Amino acid sequence: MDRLVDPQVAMRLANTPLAARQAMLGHMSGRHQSPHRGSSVEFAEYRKYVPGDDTRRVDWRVYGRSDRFYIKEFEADTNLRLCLVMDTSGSMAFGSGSITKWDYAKRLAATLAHLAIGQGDAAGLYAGGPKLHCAIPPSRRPTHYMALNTALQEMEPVAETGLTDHLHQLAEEIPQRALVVLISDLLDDPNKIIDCWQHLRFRKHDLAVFQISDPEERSLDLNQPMRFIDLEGDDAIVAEPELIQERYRAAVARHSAALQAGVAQCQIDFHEVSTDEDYEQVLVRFLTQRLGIQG
Amino acid sequence: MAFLQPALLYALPAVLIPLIIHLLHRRRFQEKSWGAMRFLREALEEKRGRRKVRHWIVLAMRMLAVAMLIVAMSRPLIGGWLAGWAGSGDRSITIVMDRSTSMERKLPGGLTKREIALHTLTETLSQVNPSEVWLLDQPLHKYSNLATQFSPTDAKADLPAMLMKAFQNWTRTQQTNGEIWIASDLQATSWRAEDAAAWADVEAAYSKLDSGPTLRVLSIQGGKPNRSIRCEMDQRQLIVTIQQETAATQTIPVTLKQGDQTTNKDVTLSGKTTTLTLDMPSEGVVIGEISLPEDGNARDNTTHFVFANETRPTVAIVCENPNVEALLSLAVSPTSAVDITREATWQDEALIIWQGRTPDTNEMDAYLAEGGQLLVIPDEQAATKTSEPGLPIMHWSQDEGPLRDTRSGESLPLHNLRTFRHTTVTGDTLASLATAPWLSKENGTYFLATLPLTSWSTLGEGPILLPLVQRLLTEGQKRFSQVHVREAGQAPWQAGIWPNANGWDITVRPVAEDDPKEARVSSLGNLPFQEFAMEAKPQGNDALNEWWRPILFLGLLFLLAEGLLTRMPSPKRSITSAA
Repeated sequence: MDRLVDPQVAMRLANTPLAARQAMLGHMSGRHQSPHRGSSVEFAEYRKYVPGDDTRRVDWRVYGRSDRFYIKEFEADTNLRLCLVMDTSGSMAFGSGSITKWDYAKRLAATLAHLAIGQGDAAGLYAGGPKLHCAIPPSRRPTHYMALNTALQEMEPVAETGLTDHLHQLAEEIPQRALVVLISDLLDDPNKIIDCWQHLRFRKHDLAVFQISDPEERSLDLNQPMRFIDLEGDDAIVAEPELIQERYRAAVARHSAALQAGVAQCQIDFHEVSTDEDYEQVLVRFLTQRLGIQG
Repeated sequence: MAFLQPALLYALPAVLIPLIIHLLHRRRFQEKSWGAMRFLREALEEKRGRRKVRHWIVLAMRMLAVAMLIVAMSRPLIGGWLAGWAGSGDRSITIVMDRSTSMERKLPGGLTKREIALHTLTETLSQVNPSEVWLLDQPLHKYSNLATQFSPTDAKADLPAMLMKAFQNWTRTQQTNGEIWIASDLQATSWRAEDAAAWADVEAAYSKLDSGPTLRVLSIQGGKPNRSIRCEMDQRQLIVTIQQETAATQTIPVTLKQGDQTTNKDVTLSGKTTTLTLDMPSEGVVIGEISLPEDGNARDNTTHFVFANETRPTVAIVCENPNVEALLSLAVSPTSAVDITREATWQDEALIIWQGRTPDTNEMDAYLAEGGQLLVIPDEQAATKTSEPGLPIMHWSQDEGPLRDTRSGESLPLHNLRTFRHTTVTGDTLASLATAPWLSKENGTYFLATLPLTSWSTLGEGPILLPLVQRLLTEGQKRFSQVHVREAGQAPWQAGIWPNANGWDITVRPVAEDDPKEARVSSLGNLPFQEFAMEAKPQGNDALNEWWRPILFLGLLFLLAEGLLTRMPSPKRSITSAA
């Protein structure tokens, strides 16, 4: 086991499967519902026999009662393809405590990948931006996890965010219905972010979003004048936090409210996460909520 | 604006301290990498204009507070007694103090003008801390103690002369940076307001100074209602004159002290001037004083007199014409109280009336120098000019001389006199016909152009001849008197009776001191006087019109405003709470 995933946490989370909220399209048999009919034990529906159907699938009991040929269909189970989309913008490097947003995001991503691959689903990793591009397609091979893990370890947040462009690109590139998990601080224009979400939803992807934030970043709880240097560029702002604290918090609240409006509009699985929260609890909440609304 | 401590203004650059602190504070900002810059920008852009303005206002308040503190410590003067004072430690001050009798007049506060001036000057000097102080009076002093130096006097002041003396001292001591402070009640006679020639000299002297001193006039005018009294001794009569400022009729008690006897007498004053004639004992020495009740000026309420045993006067009438001699004898001694001789000794005579050319001897010169009077009348053989209808006297000196007006102000009837024949006389003209002098004075000798004969003039009728001769006799007799009257000034400075080996000296208050007319500083030449009119109360620091208190208060207001602006909640806070 590597540093990104705590084995104890992984062991405890293994009891709670990662479920999709909607039918998935997969090539392999799995535990997730498929839009197609398959060979599981779960009854789906009856339909009339048409020439060419396998006669072995005719329900003879119904024929005995109704003198008509009906085919009995069962639900198909398929595997889930988890697409982890990491925000590698410079702002993710911020951390007021012992852990940065990026570190926190990596832990979430690694643990989710570990869970998915561990339950036989495929997991992939996407990250993009002007200076970094990573696209590891989902795979269910156990060794694939090591590749994801290595990629996560090597990635560092740099430069300006190119998240929204990257999300639009991914919405088009991911060919089948997948569980897209976006891990980001979402410090961008809310309208652009919501556009991305709509695009992904339009492409039938199950979208889950972890908005990672730092407590200090939310509250601006600083008591001396500061020269704030932009993590995504060379810009600097001199300000007295005490004087602008209220307006800053109001700006944060407005941004959050705008995102929440997008969440309701796009019906996405949205989780606000603070870096001072235990990531295991965050994942437990995420997994159990998904189980509760599974289709 | 002037400052009492201008050196402290060098600290004015300290107003930059808040700005420097601000800049240093900015430099000392801790750097912090930050991700959520969009929220910072949003927070800063909101109301940025107003906030920025408020920020600069706060900074301005701090700088102004420091500036006000420094200005207050520099003790600014706005207007007031020392307006325009550019004083520093190397500035000298010459104090010209008018301590004439009129300066002893009390103001409603109870203090005299001199006391108020001294108080103000003392307080001011203690504040401005000059390099040296000169007190100008008689003589010139360096600063010791104002109060004792400038004691009250019964003398008059001569401000033009004092200023000239101040300018001489300025040049002699090579002063280059200083001021001359003049404390006065602006009495016109003290300032010789109508003597344009004197002020022209002062102006010329001032213009010659290398760096002219600032001339400040501390004027103290007005005062409590006042009366004054003075007296003249005329043979054995005391002529008392009481002056008051109004023409109201009122009765006041007058105290007459003769030797050890004191008597009170009610006197009714009518008009501005009231004259009393008091008969004194015909013989013996009478020393006394006469006083008014207390009023605005205590120093002009008493006048002194001495009547001594006078010797019988002798008059020599050296005349060829017996008719002329008879007329002159009658005019000289209508009551036979005068010894008349026909020979002049040039020693014992009070008056010598000489017809024709005078001997021009040393004895005569000595006689005139000692105060003897000599009236020269024309020789009948001298060349004359005649005028049948008789020439009238066109002009004569009514203020002084033997043809002056009477004590009650009436003119001698010279306009009735006619001159049919006259000679030519030289010297200073005291009376003149239309084309020639009638009476003149030269080298102490009076020259009359006509004779008291009917063929010469109507002078022999008496109304002119009698007072003319009697006044000359009185004047000539003074040198034999045991009592000498002179104005106070020099030493002693006080009015009073001063016995000496030959009799008594009486020092009296100058007549000019009783003239209440005040001068206007602006009309005194073209000197750059800066006048400050004092109020009727002691003024020390108040007269300086210091403004450090209001300015310090203003500084505190700036600090208060700074505090309020710093603590004032931002508009956004209310919006947030409303949301």
